[in-house]
Amino acid sequence: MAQEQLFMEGAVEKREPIPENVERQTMELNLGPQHPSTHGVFRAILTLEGETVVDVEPVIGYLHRNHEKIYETMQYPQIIPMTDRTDYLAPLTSELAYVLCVEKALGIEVPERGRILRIIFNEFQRILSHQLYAATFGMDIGAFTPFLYVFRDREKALDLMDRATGARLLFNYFRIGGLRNDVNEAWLEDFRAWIDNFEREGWPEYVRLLFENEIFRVRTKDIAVLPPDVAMAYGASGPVLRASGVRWDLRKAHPYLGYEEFDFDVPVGEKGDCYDRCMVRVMEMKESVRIIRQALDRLPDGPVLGKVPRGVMKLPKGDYYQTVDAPRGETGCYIVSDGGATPYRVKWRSPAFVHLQLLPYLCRGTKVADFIAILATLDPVFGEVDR
Amino acid sequence: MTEEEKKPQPAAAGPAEAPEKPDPFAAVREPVLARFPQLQPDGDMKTAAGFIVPAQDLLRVARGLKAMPGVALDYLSHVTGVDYKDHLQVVYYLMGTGTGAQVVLKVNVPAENPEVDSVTSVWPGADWHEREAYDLLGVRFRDHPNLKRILLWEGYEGYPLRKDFVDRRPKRERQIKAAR
Repeated sequence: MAQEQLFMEGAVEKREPIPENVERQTMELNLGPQHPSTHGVFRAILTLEGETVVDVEPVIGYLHRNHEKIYETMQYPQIIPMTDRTDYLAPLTSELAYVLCVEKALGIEVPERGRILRIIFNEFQRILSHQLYAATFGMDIGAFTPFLYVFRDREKALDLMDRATGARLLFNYFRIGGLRNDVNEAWLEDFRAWIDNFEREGWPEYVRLLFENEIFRVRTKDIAVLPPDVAMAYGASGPVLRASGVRWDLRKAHPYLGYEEFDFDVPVGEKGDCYDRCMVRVMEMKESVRIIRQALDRLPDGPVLGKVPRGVMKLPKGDYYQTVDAPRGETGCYIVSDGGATPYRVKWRSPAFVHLQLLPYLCRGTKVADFIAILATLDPVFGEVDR
Repeated sequence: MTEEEKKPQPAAAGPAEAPEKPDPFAAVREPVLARFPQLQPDGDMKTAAGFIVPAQDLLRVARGLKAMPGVALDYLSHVTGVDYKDHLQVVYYLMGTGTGAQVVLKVNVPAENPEVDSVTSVWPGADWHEREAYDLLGVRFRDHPNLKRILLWEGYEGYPLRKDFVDRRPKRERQIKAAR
């Protein structure tokens, strides 16, 4: 509809409707697994009628390493760096789900400074993940410039992460009982400067460049509307669910890490189209900045690593589950322990795996060109989809 | 793997104090047990209200819990399975977005013929979770719309998350050793 306004009257040829008795054919198009716009190794078998998508069959598993089996061979502290390799664009959130689950099982207390720093890093991670999302989404639908602006800021942010954790991508920073190491005053000062700069210049710039762009709006508004009841039924979580208007955030619903002490809003969308799914993430970056500012103000002195039982860590027999609200949705870690030094079974609940189920529903009746945009709004990271 | 019998104390401290505390999930557990007396409370699940469900009652219980006021489990977090060698256990983790309830349903199925009803008719989102459980553990879900392997390829032999799984790759390609 909106596309027609862009063209002058008469520029688009009016075609005769196809008569009923003409034989229709569908075509199968294989997208991936090496397509540059599929965010990793993902294959989709599209059934097309002309340019319209009739059906999609997502094929996953190209990055499957069977993390869950590998965890069964590792001791509890050894698993932390493995969790980085699931959602590699937000590794700290994956680590958080895991360490919180183990701490819950062992009843370990995290010192106040460690806890607040975890919140800071967790929200920082959310900003970085959503920022990259905005960049790659822009690139998927043909806007290259915002990508460069994002990477200008992301580079500095990764330097900050490097200084704090010693790594730029897979941090291995959270420990059972706290953090590996503290951050110093100079780091905190530079971090504050980055946050200020992000809020004052970076964020408004992305919004102006990408989200207020007319072409962007035409490409995303009213595309692939996801009603709230369908989103709930399919187990969507995080920004995908909130974009459909369901105000459900695990930080509010089942608070962990003391999120209930912080004052922040949960942005929701109105319709659940591609545009809403983008805007919810953009607004979440703002809320993360709010949380980080409050956390920085109340950051106490003290140790960052609590008292952990010595020797080989063994969880009491039982099943434990911990969910966190990751940038992509509900990341969960389900540990079954038989009292041994290694977990008996670990189940990693990854949000994007669940969201990909929605692809056939979302894509039916849309155009091929929109498929890439729709896939991008689900923001899958194939490290965690395939695990 | 590394069975060092040095420090069993920290592990022993956990379960010893657990039975003394009253059930922290009684608010959810009691009404559910009153409504479905055939459920058994499950003590293994430490972080939510867990129930053992008889396999033949699963669908009826699932529908009932989804519609039950005060619990209203409208959100399926995940479906998974655990191999306990003598039997398999299928685990359903459910949440109520309106009520804040968290409920775990566990269904024990025999290891030789693990079969259970599919809950895709209650929560369509169970689709891929069940396919994953089928793929990695070999649990068959009755009336599943599209039960085939999802992470591994068609024609793959064996179920990797089973405890008796034997890695048949050549020796130098093997990275995961059998843990137990």
